Amino acid sequence: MMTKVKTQGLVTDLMPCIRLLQAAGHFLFNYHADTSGMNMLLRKIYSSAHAVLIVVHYICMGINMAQYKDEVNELTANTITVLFFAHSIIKLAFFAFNSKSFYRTLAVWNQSNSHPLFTESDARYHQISLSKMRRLLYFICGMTVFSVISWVTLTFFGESVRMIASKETNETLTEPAPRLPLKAWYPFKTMSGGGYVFAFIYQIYFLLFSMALANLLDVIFCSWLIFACEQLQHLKAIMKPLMELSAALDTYRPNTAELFRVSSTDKTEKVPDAVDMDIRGIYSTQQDFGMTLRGAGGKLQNFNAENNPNGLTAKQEMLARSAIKYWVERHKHVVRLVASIGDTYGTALLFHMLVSTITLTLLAYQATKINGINVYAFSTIGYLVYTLGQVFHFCIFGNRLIEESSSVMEAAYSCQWYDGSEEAKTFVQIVCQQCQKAMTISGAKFFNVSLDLFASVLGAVVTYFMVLIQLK
Amino acid sequence: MKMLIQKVKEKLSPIFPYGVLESWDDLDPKLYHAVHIFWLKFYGLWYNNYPKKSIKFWLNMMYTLLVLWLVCFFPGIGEVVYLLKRRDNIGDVAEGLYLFLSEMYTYFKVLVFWLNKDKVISLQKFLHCKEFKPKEPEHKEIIRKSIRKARFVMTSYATMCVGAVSVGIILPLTENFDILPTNVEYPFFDVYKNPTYAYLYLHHIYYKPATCIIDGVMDTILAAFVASAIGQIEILAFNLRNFDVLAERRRKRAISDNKYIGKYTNLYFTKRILKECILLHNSIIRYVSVIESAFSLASALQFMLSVMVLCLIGIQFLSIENPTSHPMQMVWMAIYLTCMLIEVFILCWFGNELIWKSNDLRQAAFDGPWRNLNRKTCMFIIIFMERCKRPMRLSAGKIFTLSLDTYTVLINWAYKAFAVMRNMKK
Repeated sequence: MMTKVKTQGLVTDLMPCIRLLQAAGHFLFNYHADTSGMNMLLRKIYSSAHAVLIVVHYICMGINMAQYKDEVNELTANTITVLFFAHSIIKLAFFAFNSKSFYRTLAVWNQSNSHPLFTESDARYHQISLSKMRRLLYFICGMTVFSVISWVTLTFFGESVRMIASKETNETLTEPAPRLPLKAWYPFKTMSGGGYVFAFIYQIYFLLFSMALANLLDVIFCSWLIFACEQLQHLKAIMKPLMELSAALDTYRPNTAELFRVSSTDKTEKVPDAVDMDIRGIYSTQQDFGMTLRGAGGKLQNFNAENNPNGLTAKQEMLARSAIKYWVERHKHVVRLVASIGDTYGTALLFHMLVSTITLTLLAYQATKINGINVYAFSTIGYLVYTLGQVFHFCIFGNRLIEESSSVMEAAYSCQWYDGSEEAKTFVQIVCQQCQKAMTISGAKFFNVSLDLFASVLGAVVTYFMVLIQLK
Repeated sequence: MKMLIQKVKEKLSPIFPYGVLESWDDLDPKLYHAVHIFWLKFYGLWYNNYPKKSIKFWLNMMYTLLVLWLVCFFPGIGEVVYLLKRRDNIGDVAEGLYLFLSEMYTYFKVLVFWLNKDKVISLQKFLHCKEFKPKEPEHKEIIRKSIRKARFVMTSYATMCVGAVSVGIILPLTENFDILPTNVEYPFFDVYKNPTYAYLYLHHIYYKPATCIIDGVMDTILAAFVASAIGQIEILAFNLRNFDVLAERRRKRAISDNKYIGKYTNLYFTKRILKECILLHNSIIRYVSVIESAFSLASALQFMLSVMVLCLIGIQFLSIENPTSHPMQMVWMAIYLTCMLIEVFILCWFGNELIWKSNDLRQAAFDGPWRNLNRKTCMFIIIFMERCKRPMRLSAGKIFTLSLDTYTVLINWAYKAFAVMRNMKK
């Protein structure tokens, strides 16, 4: 029914995640093969229907919170639930308003440069990043489904009551409430019968889809970071052959023929079929290497073999000289990708951290009231672990990006640059200076996404807990 | 007469650590760890390198198990039983817990040490690599100083701990033989009846110094590796500051060895020296990363445990009733607290030294006579200085860096936890 849509670059790699996002109801209307008016209209109606259902249920939960605000414990618990699902609403709206910049980031890697000697390494790291992205997607999907199942299971334990503050005697009474996963106001009776079943199914739908909405968008963000990190690994890996190539131009080196052999078979990796290997000549686009055989640029004009101590042919000399350019252009491309990721997702991260901070403060207060192993303890600890897990998820990938980008300098230093040419030494110096400052993703310039952020969040929660337990 | 002294030294050398009786002239890298390995072998806790089928392997294994039973499991069981009998009162449990935790943690460190056997052995081999060999007399002096520092830290820390523990051992004397040095209880016999009490007292006199020494070795072995890295960094700094002098010496040596063919100019030797500096720098960077991978986990857990133990000691300090009538208790607490503080301080101080010395390398490169070099040769110094903008640091479990800043943070957290627990006790 749907013909295969022709995609390239990041969209091909992230297609499963994109399809899941479309299924969950995000307003993502690109990347379909069939863009006829009827189908687009159907898709828009599908997404809008999901959005309406989720927002309506969220408002019902808000009404419930306003109704029972007199009793402190009830108010705190309801506020935590409302804040928990605020993530999904915010991310849904954020994507809807920012979809252009998402499309732009997904298109950043559509055209990438290539060099015949380094395609094997490129392909290998691309495969590694693909498998990591898949694994992350499966893990997050699994965790989402597990959370929904455990939430629904926990509903059936414990007593299903809500706390009311009696105005006359000023003590808390309990009043029976419907045994549903979430406390919400419905215009129909939900204690038993048809209304109860309908509300239960609606809530399971709401739980699954809202958690999926929030988590899948985080998965896209982390997958982008995985891709950027593997590109940096590729750049670090080709540093050593690059130095040897550059040394081969100036000084006599034995076995220079080895350097120029493009290995076509590799037992450990599968060559991906999507790579378009243009071997029309020495390089993929003549413009890419900025030089033509017609003699542009003074120093590249003499291609005679007598100047070269290793007897390289003209073609091999061209390959050697263009290797550094390939490296630098690829590095600049990665920097553009990371900048685009930061622009696209930074604000969403800021909102996420704001909401999470308030949620965690309230959860620290709830945690001081745990008095045994019961439903209350499990649900509080469940909320805590889930919220901290969400923050940890993007902090760890942000931290990996910082580490990878700053270790490029160490890789440049540890290869044998001292035997290379003057051009190679200048290259190493500039790389070292550039990579002093690591590439970071910032949450709209307020904070940097790294493990330090997670440690400070964790430290803050522990501090609030210690203080609140004193006040008890 | 000299022959007699020589013979006596040879006879006595197995019972002392390597380097006590032998001369240090060859500056063998195993001098750094000789004291540590000697004590580990004494308690049977060093790696069992005999082939599996030989008698020596099994004898060694039996000895190790015997020592572990005497110093780890037997007292551990006693302490656990003692604490379980008092588990209704959280305050009492907290007080007895600090000793149990720090003793058990020593054996946890030994376990991690055994698990990291390959890395530690490869670290020792790394020290013998050719870049680390001293080539000039000044190098030898620097290495001698760093060996002295590594051995001094081990012996002084172990002596201090054993001294502290002897105060604990003397405690029963002042309390009229009412209590044992460590509070233990066993399920099958009464520890305060006379013959059992005497045997247990003797056992405690054996096991407490043993635990202290093993703990000292585990802490200071990391410090010894870092001290060797710092020694090499100092050699590198010396080379950078004096590369012209070294190039001249190299040229003269080549002439005297008849290797000087005449077409090698001074520039050639200068380039050789600078290239060797870069190679040494790369080796030191690799060495530090191997140290980090071998000891990172143990250091991270050490830090977290020290925070807990420090605040438990604080609680215990406050809960001694009638301080004036139990002066020995107060002294014991104070000494134990000092030992714990110094234990973490040693790790953080050496980590901090590493950071500072590697920052000093940039200054050393600038101090050298680079004005006389041509631009092409200066590239070596330029790229070297770029690399030195990021100093070498040791991290514990990727979360903490070993430095004095971390030490301040840890003491801070220990105090916060102590304040909270004190309020909860009330």
